[in-house]
Amino acid sequence: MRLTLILLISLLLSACMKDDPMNQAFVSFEPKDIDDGLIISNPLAEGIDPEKLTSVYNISYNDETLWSLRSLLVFKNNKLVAEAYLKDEKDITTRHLIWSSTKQVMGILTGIAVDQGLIASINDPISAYLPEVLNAYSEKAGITIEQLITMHSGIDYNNDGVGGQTDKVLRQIPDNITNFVLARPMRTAPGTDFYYNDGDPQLMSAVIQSAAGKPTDEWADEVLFSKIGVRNYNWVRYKDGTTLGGFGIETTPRELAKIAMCVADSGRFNDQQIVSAEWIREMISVKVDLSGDYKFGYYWWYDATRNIHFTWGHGGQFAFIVPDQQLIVVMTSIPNTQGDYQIQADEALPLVDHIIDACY
Amino acid sequence: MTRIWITLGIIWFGMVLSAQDTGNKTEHTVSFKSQYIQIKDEFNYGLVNRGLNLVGEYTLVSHIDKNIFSYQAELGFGANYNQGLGLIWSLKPFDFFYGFRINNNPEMPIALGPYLAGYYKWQLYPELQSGHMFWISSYELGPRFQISLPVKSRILHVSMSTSLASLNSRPEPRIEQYYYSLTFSDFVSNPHSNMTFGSVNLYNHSDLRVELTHPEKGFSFAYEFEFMGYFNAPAFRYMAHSINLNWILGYKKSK
Repeated sequence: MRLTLILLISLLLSACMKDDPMNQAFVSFEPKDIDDGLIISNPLAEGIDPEKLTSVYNISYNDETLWSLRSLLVFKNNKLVAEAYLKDEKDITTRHLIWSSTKQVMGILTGIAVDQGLIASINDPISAYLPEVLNAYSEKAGITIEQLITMHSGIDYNNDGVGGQTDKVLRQIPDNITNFVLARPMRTAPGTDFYYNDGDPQLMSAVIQSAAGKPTDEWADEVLFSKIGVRNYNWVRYKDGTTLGGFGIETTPRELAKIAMCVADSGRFNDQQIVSAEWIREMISVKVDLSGDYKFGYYWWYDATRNIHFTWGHGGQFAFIVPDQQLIVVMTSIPNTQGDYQIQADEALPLVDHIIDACY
Repeated sequence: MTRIWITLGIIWFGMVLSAQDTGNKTEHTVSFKSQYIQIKDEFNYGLVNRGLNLVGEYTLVSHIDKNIFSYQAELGFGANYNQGLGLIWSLKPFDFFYGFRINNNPEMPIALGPYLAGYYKWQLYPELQSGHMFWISSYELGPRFQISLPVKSRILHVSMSTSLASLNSRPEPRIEQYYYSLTFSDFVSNPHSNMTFGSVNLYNHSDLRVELTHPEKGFSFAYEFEFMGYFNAPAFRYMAHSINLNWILGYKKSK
């Protein structure tokens, strides 16, 4: 009896569960034609070494630091030459959160608003578009549009942690998101220094919404998304009806790529000028010469060493534009990861380096 | 749901009172469980989170003639880890068991009978799932088997149970979202939503407890193995190895 019990308990003690594999087995990066407007090609035809590209995909599937990577797409000469969905094949059409890559879309929309005259000048104060600023938040009346799109408003809005303002927004605690941002104290005078936060693009969404006379997402669908074939997306509004500005878009890697393609082609898409080339040039040029590796334009990130412009969303949502190679690389990742568990640009860019190395 | 709770409360009080009226022995035991747990939730990318759970448990046992009635409740807190920290809370508000004596050997009493239990387990993965909460709750019914064996001067109690039918709540297949699904009221409302009835093909909770007691001592040790599985999407697996320290608070013999 005692032996039976010892054996039974030993057997139970050894019982353990195993992780499922994080990634599917890598089979192929051959793109599928799903009739979403993208032109499909192959690496050889566009001047990429297929064997080197295969080794890049092998790295993406096996590198422990990239465990949360969900998709890797490579576009050359505006054509999709390789794609893989590491977690689930359905991610080809399943929308996921792109978090702060929404900010880069806000940058494009600001340009379209300027092109269309909805915003007379980026030097305009936000009080010209948000009259409530003058009435209730006069210390912020002088903040300009340009300060919003370069993260220079000076408003003390904290993205991080349980005590941060974004956390309160995600819990939908404030009744009115615009007033919530405007009611924050100033940390510096407007225009003094760069302070990356979700509050500035949120105010930019409110400005566009006021100027366009309709929610930013609705206007964006008319002037941008419908024109570049982005149809598989959703842009979340706050409970007061204001479109989220610092984050909020849910879409697919293929749709995110179309936004990057429009920027890479100086604002054109399928030979139609969507946003002026002048704005695109300004938007992706260095406006904030940050001390680190990455510089900042109008919401767009720039790696000056590599000459790569990119979108960057929390968790590891990227669209990299490599102008020298006419190359676009899109990476998306499990989005709600925090701290060390999210893919940073420092971890994603070496993969882009490998893809550049594979180009003839 | 309120009616269910009131009904269970009435059953409990009725059984405790009837047990005490019969003049048989009633024991109250407080246990402290140290559990090594493994949780695999389909929502958490198929990762198995492993960690420590600390549980406090209260048990009332009444011997009614030759039969046994017991009530158990427990509350637990723990943390686990795999590519990020997980936090877990668990609550077992009730576990009623009525065991019918099925032999006449006073040296080795064997009891078999039905049990009815409720479980709530909440999980939070702040580093992998931001402010999104996962849970499983279950009301389960099944057989429990108990046997007591003399081992020298001690008594070895073995108890085994497995659920046969259950009502379960799991989160809806979740679409990623920006807004957190976690508010205080969610802790109460979510685990009572979306209840699904099923048998062992949907859910199984099995438990084995081996306890060695000394008749002249007020405390004992036990080893417990627990498996809980919800097999539909989103699937959930839970496995726990426990070392339990039990303190018998007192013996009562009325009349």
